[in-house]
Amino acid sequence: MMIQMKRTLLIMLILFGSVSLSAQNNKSEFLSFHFLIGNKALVLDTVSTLDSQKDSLSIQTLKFYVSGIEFYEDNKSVWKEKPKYYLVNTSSHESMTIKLSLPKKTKFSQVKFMLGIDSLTHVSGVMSGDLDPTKGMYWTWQSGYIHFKLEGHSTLCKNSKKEFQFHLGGYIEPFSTYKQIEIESSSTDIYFDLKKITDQLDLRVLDHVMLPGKEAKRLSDLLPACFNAKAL
Amino acid sequence: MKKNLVAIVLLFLFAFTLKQELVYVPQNWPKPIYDFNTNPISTEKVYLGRVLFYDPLLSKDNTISCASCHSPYSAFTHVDHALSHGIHDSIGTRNSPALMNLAWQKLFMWDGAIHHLDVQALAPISHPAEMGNSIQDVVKVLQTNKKYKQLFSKAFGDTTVTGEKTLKALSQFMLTLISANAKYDQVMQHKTEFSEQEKKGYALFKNNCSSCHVEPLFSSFEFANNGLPVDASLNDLGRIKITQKSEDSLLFKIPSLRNSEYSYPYMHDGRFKKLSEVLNHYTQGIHQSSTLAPQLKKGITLSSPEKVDLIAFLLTLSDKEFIFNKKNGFPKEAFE
Repeated sequence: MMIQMKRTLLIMLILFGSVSLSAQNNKSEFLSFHFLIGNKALVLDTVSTLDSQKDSLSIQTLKFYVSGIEFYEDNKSVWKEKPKYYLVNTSSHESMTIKLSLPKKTKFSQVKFMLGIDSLTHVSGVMSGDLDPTKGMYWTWQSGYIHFKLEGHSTLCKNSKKEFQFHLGGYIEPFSTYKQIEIESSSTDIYFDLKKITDQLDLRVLDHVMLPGKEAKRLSDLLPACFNAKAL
Repeated sequence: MKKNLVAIVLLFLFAFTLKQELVYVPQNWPKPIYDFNTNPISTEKVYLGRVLFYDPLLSKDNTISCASCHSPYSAFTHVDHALSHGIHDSIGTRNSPALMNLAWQKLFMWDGAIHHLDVQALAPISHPAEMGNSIQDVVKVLQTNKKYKQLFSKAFGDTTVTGEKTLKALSQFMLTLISANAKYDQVMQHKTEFSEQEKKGYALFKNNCSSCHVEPLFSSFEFANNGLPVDASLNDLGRIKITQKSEDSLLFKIPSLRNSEYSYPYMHDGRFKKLSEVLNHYTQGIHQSSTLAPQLKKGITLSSPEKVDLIAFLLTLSDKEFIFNKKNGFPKEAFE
């Protein structure tokens, strides 16, 4: 058991090289996202066996917007990054580490950020950089950013391609999917465990959500629990 | 001396640019909704947008341009096509709207799906029955095109093509499509007068139509159910698709009546070919439902001669200068 855990850790370290740097002094000037599926590192386009053992899952796309990064100590804000949107994309290693201007010795016990795009930015027209519509995170038939995109294949899906697509967005209440994420942590390494969503999804019944509304809202409510301070 | 000359020439050019008034607020019109600070208008950007607007390169198989369904001679819609017509002879589900006075509009499309002019073009570019393409591929194609490299460089100062720049340039051209010089406008400015018949028609308009088709833009650009029975083959319920609110069932964007002489057929599905059919709908064809516009609950009463008068007035909203303005037309020189 111990050996297996060590091996998992080693794989993670190799996959996400930045971890080692940030682990040394417990703080760094990078906010690093690490992706897991349960106790394993998430590797795109690789088949994972689900708990049932009969069924499997592979992820092709996992990306989301992060903004308003802020650090807290004793419930007081100690550092706030300048307002900027970052597209964290599992298929681009660079995008998984966000360069911060956080002073190295800042003491904090909580990290907060927003998942998605705020409503004012939503209605302010076309933007550049990570917000450019060429990034594939803007709906075309209806104005609005996709806050969180998850696509893949599973033997559970009933459709002929065995695929699932979850494009979660929507900025108008009561169906806003703009979420605050709070993590009790004194480290800038953030772990995202996809299993927290897949355990709650029945892919046999629901294999896609691609417009704002009730379902998008329900699924996005599961997202905050995916973000954790350390690998479980 | 040479420096002075350059300065004078530059000043002259600057004055000339101002005089051209690419975008302006016509007399007695409200403040535009579009925030020009986020996309400052320039001659070069408008020109780039115009070339893009007329270029079938934007579609997947290089056959359909924006102008295919938004032709200048029909106030930038598609004459005789009830529903939009895309690549591979595809037919869409809605009538392409006339494009004019877009800076004064907050929401776009018949159901208000689009909330900003800058992101409007994404819809037809990506729709499989329209241009069937993606903004990613459009940017890729433009980036390798010599002509566009030059046009982007002139407009934005460098040759890098992005989605943002492409869409903002398209917006700039569309923002210049201002129609404000119809006979109606000249009458309001006391430059000419209505005929007796047009005068009667104007009075009828004010009594029966103006609460939705608000002057001077001839629309409030809100959404309303105008009593059209649902076409069973299209089953289009309008704005409810976007808001998911039952009170928005069967509501569609109220179109401007400006240039309606040129922009037939009418309604979101292009079901009426003539203005007289539209008036007959309002007098005899209203389909009662829970979301029907309150103004139409009792129907509109117009005698046959009154209908003729009302149409005479509607024709005073035709702006020939706008329709035949060369600066809005096909930029031939860019495609030689």
